[in-house]
Amino acid sequence: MSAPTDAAAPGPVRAIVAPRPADVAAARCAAWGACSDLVASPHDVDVRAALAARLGSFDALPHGAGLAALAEELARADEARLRAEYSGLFEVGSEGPPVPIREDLQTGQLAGTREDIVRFYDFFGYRLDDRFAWAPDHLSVELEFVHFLCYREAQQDDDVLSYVLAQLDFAERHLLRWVPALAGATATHAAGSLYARVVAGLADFIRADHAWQQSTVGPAGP
Amino acid sequence: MSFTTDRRRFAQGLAAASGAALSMRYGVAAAAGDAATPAYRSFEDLLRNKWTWDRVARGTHGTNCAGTCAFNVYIRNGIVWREEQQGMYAPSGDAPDYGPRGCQKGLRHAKYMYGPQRILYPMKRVGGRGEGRWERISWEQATTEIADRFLDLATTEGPQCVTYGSGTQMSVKLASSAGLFRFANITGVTVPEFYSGVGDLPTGVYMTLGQVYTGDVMAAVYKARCVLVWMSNPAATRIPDAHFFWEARYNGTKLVAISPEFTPTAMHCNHWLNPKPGTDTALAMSMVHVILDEGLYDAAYIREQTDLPLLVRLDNGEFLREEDLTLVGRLAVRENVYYLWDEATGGIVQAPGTGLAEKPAGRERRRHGSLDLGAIRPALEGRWTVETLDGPVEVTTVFARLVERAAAHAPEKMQPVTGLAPAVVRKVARMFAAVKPAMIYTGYAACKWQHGDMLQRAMLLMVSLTGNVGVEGGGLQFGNAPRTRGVAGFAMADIGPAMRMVSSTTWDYDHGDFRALNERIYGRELADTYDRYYRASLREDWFPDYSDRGWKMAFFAGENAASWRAGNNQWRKEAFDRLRTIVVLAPDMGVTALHADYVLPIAHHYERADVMLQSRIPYVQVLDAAVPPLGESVDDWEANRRLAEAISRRARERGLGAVRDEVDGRSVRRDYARTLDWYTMGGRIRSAKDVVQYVLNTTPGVPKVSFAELASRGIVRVDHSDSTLWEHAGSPYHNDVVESVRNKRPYETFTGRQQFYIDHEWFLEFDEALPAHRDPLRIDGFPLQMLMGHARHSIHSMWRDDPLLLSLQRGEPDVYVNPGDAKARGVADGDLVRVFNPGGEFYALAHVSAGIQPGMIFSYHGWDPMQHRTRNNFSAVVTSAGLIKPTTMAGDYGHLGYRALAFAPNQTYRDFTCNFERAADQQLGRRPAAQASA
Ligand code: SF4
Repeated sequence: MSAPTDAAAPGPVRAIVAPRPADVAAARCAAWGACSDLVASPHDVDVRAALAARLGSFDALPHGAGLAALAEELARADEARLRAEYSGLFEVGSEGPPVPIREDLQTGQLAGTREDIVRFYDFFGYRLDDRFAWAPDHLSVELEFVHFLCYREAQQDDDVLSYVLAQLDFAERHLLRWVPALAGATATHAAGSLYARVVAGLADFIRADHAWQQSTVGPAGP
Repeated sequence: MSFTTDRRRFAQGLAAASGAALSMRYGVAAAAGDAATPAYRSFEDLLRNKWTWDRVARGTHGTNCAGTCAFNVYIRNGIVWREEQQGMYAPSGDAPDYGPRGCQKGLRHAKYMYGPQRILYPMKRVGGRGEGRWERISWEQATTEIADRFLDLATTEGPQCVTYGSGTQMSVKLASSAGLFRFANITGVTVPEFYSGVGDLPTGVYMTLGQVYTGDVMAAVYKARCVLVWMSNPAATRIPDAHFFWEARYNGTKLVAISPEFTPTAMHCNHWLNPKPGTDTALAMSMVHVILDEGLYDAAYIREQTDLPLLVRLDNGEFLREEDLTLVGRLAVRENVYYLWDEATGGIVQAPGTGLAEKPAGRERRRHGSLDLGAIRPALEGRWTVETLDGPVEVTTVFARLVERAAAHAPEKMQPVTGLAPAVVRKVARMFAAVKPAMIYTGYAACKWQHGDMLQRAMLLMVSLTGNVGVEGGGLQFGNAPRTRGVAGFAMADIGPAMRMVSSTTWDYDHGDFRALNERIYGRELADTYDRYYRASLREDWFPDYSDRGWKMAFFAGENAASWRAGNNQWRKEAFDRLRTIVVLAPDMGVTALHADYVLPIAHHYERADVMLQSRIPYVQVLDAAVPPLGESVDDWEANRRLAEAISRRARERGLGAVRDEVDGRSVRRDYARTLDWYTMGGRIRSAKDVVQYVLNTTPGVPKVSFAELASRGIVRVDHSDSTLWEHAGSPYHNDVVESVRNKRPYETFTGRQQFYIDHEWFLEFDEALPAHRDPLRIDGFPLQMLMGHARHSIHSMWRDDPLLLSLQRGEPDVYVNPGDAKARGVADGDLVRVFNPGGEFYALAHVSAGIQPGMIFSYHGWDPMQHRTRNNFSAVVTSAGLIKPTTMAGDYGHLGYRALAFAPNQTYRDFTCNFERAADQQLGRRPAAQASA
């Protein structure tokens, strides 16, 4: 990976200004993977088994406690109930799903939303399987992408700054822009439901993680 | 904020930090350290690489817009991002070419296909019908449960109580239609044909010409010297082809728009005539009168091609036939021998082309005899006494009777009816008759009036009297349709004909108890009268009787029946809601799916392989699958294959043996365990592409290309399409009328000619032997006729809910009202109004427009009930579904009698009135979906 020239990068040049050890990246990698599973469709993925295999993924993170409990609850939940609740909220409905779990639909199909996501994916070589290619803006997919970026950061054998900055920018350009609204819409439609709590927990997690990330990145020194 | 990891707990769940686990379900990653991955420093880096496409596919929109526009569909990362018109059309003759083609709906599709309305997974209802509570289920669960429900009925009550309805979305996609018909042919389900069900069957054309296909390519408009654009609004509804009208006008052609409301088309025409709603036949007959009265007709043409010189008995109004004259004729019941008065010999003579075929109707007829008059000089007018077996009888000609009938419709006499100044009517009639070729370009709205058949007969009189039928740039331009051998052949291959196709109109009349609707709306006398004739037709076996079949289960594919069915409230209550099982196969949600028990997700236009043939342009158009179907949707072929697989599997698992069935008197053995085997022709047909190839190979007039080649080219020119007229027997479209005109072949009518006079006993009884104006029906106390028309911003309900297209309108359903009518009701533009009559009510915004006459309201159609407050749309006030006009169920008369897709009564969508009032906000149950999501 070649280093960018300053002239090519508009705006302030950013750098890592606080430690981001590999084990933190690994912990975050695991947590974001579990986040992706939390909102994966139980019709497409055996969510209970997936989460059971990832129990503990949030434990290392100070802001992961809420999701850790929810992951355990999901892993133990009745599968039929999970499927019914998930699809009834996010996948099927009389005028489309009550709470579409795709960014493009939550944000009103604005021009450029999906293109920006796909450009992120392409840039970092994250290529969707044919089956899911049509939904790059699905929350579970976006979270998997963050999981992937964290993984690359954790490997530390590459241009770490690229993956750090991409995480920050992807959160700001996408996750933070729509997941809180998704949490609000889910709560409106199914207050107190398991998935309303999951999405609310995710919104909190995204915000907390972003705050931490911001604390590690700042203007590059002179 | 500090962020430290709890190493002990972390280690329990994960490998050591250095071994962070990558676990991905949706994506695959490029290898770490991939040299191709550049550094990222800010989001601008994402934009440095030029956006490129993985593939450009060919496609169009498989909806019944009649556009069939060739598009390039741009794909990257498995997503369709945009589409662009593929402008590579050649012209027909010296007319302008057909490209580039497109409209704003088509150019929205790349966005719309990813919209929230999209059905992505099989769904099963978990709440009450229409309550909107669903669960996603697997295809296997869905098809297994549906198959069981089907088999329960098929093996006990018979498959005929299960319908498989389809609509215009289906009909234009030939492979999809072929698959559906094959499924129906194998399973024995009933297929209600929607042609008459939506009130689009040109029965008046059929009565006159013995077939319904009279349309040419759109470039024919350019060849006309005068065009009456009547019951049609091409500026809004035929966007890719409307340019032919404007180019014709630049070229000197006179355009005359005829519509009660001022349309986007009218503003481009030389003249606009605005008859009162439902008085078009009066206007047409007024112009017929002018043409006759002023001698503007083509005598040679009508002598040869029409029944106008045929002799009619004055004592009983019937044609003079051989059975009147000779014992042989009477014993042989030679009803189809007709006579002329020959001025050359001063006596009667058998009309050429009559009496030669065994069957008085059908293609057989065309092979016998000729219309060539030879030395005969048929008289057009006069009275003569003829010796018959019953004694001397005075006879005259159809022409003479027509002169009388038309005189009763003289413009001056019709002025109170039409509201049109006689001088204007005369001027337009003369303008029309003065040039050749002259054309009436008409839409299907004529068929939706109860007496639309007489309007079409009158229109045909205008074009026939002036010698324009069967002439390039002339005639009555309806639609044409491809010869169905490819589709029908596929449906029946290896099986033979075992399908049940029924008339939707009579099916609904029986199952929706429309006699009761007629009585409630139009009174007992009308209801009893119509019902008496209806029953008589069934008793005489002129039309099939479906009343004993029951209706227990229904599939709906490619249609949104609960949105548009006339008499909707009655139909919903008496028929639809009583179905035990409703299965909807659709790409988008709509009111029909809302009320279903199972909804199966269907691939959209860019996600499927298919082929389209639309007679308005001389090209075969491909639908190539640009991307795989979204979610778990599949194309119609595959959906039916999965159903067939489940039926086979469950029949075997349940140990069901073959059952005996009877279709049209033929015994049929249905072995449901073999459904899949039959459906796939023993595995030979594996996908929709194979069906397309079959259809391409077997449809006449279509170049024999492979699917791959068609997919690479997008469009391929069909055979024999050099002129703007479908004139060649080798073309894919019907050319029978041209053939009759040019080669003097008899028509497929009882008289073997263009038949304007029908002496069937019911026609005589109702005084409809010749066309005449009838006042449209009204509902007492409700002053406003409601008219509807196709919309600019949707194709039926397809794209109706697209947010961008809604933003180009008023954002939600509206109805157009006259300023005076609005003022009288205290309604201002943009107010919410309640439109109501005894049938029901719906809410919409008032669109106050001076283009609307007093005494009418107008609604563009296609608004789904789900877009309206209270979830009722225009169909709530359409009360006319039971108006089955007796003469459209006549039979035992040559070409008249039930003939699927040709002669059947239309469901009536006019002939009712309503009222409107300002609605108070508190009357509103809910905001429409579109507004809410905006
Ligand atoms: S919707 Fe029809 S008219 Fe519009 S672009 Fe598509 S094919 Fe052409």
